[in-house]
Amino acid sequence: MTTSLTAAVDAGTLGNRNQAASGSTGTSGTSGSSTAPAFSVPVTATGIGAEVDTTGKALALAQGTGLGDYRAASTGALLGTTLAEKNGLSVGSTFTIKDQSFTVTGLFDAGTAFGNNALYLTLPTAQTLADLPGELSTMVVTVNSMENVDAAKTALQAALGTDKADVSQGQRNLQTAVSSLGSVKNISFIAFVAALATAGLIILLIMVMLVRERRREIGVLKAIGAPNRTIGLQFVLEALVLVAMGSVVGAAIASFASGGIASALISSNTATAAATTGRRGQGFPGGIPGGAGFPGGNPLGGASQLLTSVSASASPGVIAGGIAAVFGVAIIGALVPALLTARIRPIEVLRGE
Amino acid sequence: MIEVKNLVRTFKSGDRTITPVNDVSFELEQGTLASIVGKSGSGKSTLLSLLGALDKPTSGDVLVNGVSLAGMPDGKLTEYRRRDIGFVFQQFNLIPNLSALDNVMLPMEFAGIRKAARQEQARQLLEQVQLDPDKHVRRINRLSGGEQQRVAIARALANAPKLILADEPTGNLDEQTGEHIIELLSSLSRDHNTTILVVTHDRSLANKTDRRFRLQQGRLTEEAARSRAAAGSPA
Repeated sequence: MTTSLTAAVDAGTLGNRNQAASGSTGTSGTSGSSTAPAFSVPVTATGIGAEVDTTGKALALAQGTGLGDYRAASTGALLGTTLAEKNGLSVGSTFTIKDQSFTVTGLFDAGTAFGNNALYLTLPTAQTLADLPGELSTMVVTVNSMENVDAAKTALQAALGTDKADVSQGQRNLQTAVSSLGSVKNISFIAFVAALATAGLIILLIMVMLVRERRREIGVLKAIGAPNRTIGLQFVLEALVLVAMGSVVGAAIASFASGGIASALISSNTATAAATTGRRGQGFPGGIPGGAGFPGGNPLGGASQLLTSVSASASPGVIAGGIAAVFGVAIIGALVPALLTARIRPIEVLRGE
Repeated sequence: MIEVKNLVRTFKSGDRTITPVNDVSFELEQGTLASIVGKSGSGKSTLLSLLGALDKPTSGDVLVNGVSLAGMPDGKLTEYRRRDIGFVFQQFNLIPNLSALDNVMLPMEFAGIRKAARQEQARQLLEQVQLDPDKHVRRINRLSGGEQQRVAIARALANAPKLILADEPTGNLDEQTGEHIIELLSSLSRDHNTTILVVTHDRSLANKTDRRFRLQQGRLTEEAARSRAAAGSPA
C-alpha cells in the first residue's frame, strides 16, 4: 500500500544486513510504507473503533483532537509524534494513503519510537483501504474482573463461532499479574507484621520510659490509696490513646500514599515481565492485513498493562482485623509497664524525696 | 484510736543492722494533734511510714480502732490508706499537671465517689483550707508553696480519714506560712475530730500540739503534754 509518509524508524545496520541477506524490500506489513533506499520499519496504519490503541489503552493525545465518530468513515488521522516529526506534519497537515488524502487531526504519544511510528484511522476507513469491509483482525475485550475472564472468553467464543475467530486470553500475563499481586500481598503482609512488631516494641519502650519518668507520681498515687489495677489501667489506656492517635495519622497518610506505594510495588514486581513482552511486541510491528496491525506491544497487554488499574484498598474485614491487631499489640506493649507499676513501692519513691 | 505496740523496723546496711524504730509503743485518742520531734535520721519518717502502711514493720503492730495492720494483705493496706489515712508531705507530692481541684478529687475517685459529689466536696475542702476560689482550677505548678501545701492538706482530708500523717509539713515554707499551716491543722483536728500526727524538727511547731513525742535513736519518749489552750499561747 503506498503512502506519502516516510517511516520514522530506521532499522539500522542490523536491518540493512538482514535486507542484504534476504532481499527484503521492507514493504511488508499491514499498510504501505514509503520505499526508502535503506531498509526501514514500515509505517503501520490501524483502524480503531474507539480512541484506544491496539492493546485497548486510551490514546495519549499530545496535540489536536481525536477522530470523532470512530465507527464512521473519515479522512481524519491520528499520527504518532515521531512519524509526524519525520514527515514535517502537524495538526491540519495532509498526507496520502493509496492516493487518498488524509488530514492530521491529532498527534499521539505511545511512549516508544516504534509505537509512535504509526497512525490510526477510523475502523471503516481502514477496512475500505484494505478492501476488507466489515472485517476485523483483532478485537480487544477488557473484562471488568480477573474472576470473569474465563466466563467472558467462553461467551465470546460461543458468540463469534470457533471457525471464525480465535479467542485467547493473556493467560501467562494474567498469571504473572496474579503472581505479582500475590507477591505484593505477601510483601504487604510481612510489612504489616513487621510494623506491628515494631509498633509493639515502640509502645513497650515508650510506656517503660513513662513508668520510669512517673515513678514518683505512681508512688504518690499509691500512697493516697490508688489500687494497682487503677494505675495499671491508666497506663494501658494511655497506650491505647497513643495507638489510636497514631492509627488515625497513619490511616490518613496511608489513604494518600497507598496508591503510589501499590503502584511502586506492582511496577517493581512486573518490570521483568513487562520488559519481555514489550521487546517482543516492538520487534514485530503489524503484519496483519485489514488495517489492524500492532504498532508495538502484545495485543493482550503485558502484566504491567493488566495491572495498571490495580488500586490499593482494604475491605472492612481487613480494617477490623488491623485495628484489632494494633490495639492487641498496644495492650500487650502496655501490659509489661503496667505490671511494673504494681512493683513500685510508695515508700521507696517517697523516701527518695 | 491509734495504738502502736512494740513497733520495730530494722534495715540491713551491709553487715550492719540499723534500727530506726526500736520498740515504739504509744496510743493516740481520736482528735488528738500530736507531734514527733527528733534529729534528721532519727527514724521519724520511718515511723510515719509504718503508721501509714507505706512500710511493714519487722515486728510489732499498729491498731486502728482495734483493727491490726500486721499481716493485712497489700490490697487491704491500700484500702486502709485510701479510707483511713491522709498524707501531707514536705514536698507536697501533688500531681503537677492536674489542677488543685483535681488533686483533691483524686483520693475520692479511688474511693469510687461520683464525680459531681467529689467535685462539690473538693471545693468545700479547698475553701476550708482557705485557698482562693480563683485558684481551685489552677494548675499546681502555678501555685505558691503555701498554696500547694493547703491543697495537699485538702487532699489529705478528702476521704474524711481518721488519721492524718504530716511529714515536715512546714519544712518547705516560710515561717509565717508555716504558722498558718499549723493553725490550719490544729483547727481541722478540732473541727473534724481527726487525729493528726506531725513529724517535725521545728520545736516551735511541736510546742503547739496537744502531745509531743521525741524520737531518739529509734526510741520514743513523750514530753510533757500541753493543753490545746496552752498550745495556742506563745511558747
